[in-house]
Amino acid sequence: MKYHWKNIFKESAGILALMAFIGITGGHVLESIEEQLILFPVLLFLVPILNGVGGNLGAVLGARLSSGLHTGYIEADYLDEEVKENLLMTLLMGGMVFGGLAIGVSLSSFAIPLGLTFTQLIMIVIGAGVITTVSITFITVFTTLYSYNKNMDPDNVVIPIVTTACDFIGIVALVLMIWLVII
Amino acid sequence: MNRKKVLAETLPVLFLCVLGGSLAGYFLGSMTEIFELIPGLIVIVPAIIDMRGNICSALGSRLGSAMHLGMLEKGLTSDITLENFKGTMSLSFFVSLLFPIFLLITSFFLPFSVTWRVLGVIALISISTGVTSAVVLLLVTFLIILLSIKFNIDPDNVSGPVLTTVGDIATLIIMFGFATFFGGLFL
Repeated sequence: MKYHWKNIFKESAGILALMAFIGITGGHVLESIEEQLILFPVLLFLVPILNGVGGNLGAVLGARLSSGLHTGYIEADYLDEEVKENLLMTLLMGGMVFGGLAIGVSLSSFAIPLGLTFTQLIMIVIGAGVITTVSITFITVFTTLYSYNKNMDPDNVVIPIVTTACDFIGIVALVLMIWLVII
Repeated sequence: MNRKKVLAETLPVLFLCVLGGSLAGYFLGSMTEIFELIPGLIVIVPAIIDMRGNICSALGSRLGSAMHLGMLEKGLTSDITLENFKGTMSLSFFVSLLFPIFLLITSFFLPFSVTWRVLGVIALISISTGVTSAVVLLLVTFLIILLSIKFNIDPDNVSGPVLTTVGDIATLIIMFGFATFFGGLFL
C-alpha cells in the first residue's frame, strides 16, 4: 500500500517540525520589525497576500509536477519539456495575479490615502510579485525533482518547504522594493 | 499539458484566495483582545496557520497523485481515505504538540516572560485547534476530490490554494473559540 499512514507520517513529520520551528522564529523576527511595518500599513496588508499567493503558486506547481512524476509523463530532469512548460505557466500566472493585485491596490490609493503614490505602489507590488514568483517557481522545481530523485514522495515534502520559504521571500521582496522605490 | 485547462482552473481560484486572504487578515485584526489576554499566542499563530495549510495541501497533493495514478477510479475507497485520515491526524497532533515546546525554546526572543500557566493554556489551544481544524479540513479535502472527479477538474490545479485559504479562515475561527474558552477558564 503506497499510502500507508506510517509512511506519510515518517516522510512528513521531520520536515514539518523543522519548518514549524523556522516559522516560529520567523514570527519572532516579524514581531521585532513590526514597528517599521506599521509606518506603511499597506505593507502589513500585502505581506499575507504575497506569502499566500506565492505559496499557492508553489503548491499548484508542486502538485502538478508530483502527479506527472508519479504517473511517468514527466521525467525527473530539469530539461524535460513538461517541466519547462509547467514552470513557464507558473511564471505567467504569477505575473497575471500580481499584475491584477498591483492595479487593484494602486487604484485603491485614490480612494484611501496609503502614504504612497500610484506609481510607487505599482512598482512595489509588481517588483515584489516578480521576485516572489520567480524564486518560488525555481525552489519548487528544485525541491520536487530533488526529493523525487532521493526516493521521497514530493507530495509530502515540497509544500511545507515552499510555503515556509515563501514566508521569508515575500517579506524580503517587499522590504527590498520599498527600499528601492522610496529611498 | 493543457494550458487552457490550467489557466481556467487555477487563475480564478488564485484570485479568490487573494480575497480570502484579506478576509483572514481582517479576522486576525479583530482578535487583538484575546492576544492581550494570552501573551505569546500571537507568536505561534502564523506557524499554526501555515502548518494547517501545509498538512492539508500535502494531503490534497497526495490524493491528486492517487487520482492520476488511477487509484480513485472507484471513488474514495475506504483504505485510501482511512490511511490519509490517520496520516493527517497523527501529523496534526504531533505538530500541535511541538508549538508550545518551540515557543518555550525561543521565548528568550520575547520582550516579556511566558509563565508556565500561560504556556499550558497555549498548549491546550494548540492541540485542540490542531485536531479540530484537521477534521474540518480533511472533510473539505475529500469534498474537493469528489467534486473534482464529478466535474472533471484536475485537483492539482485547485486543491492547494482552496485548502490553504479555507484552512486559514477555519483555523482562525476555531482557534479564537478555543482561546476564548481556555483563556476564560484558566486565566
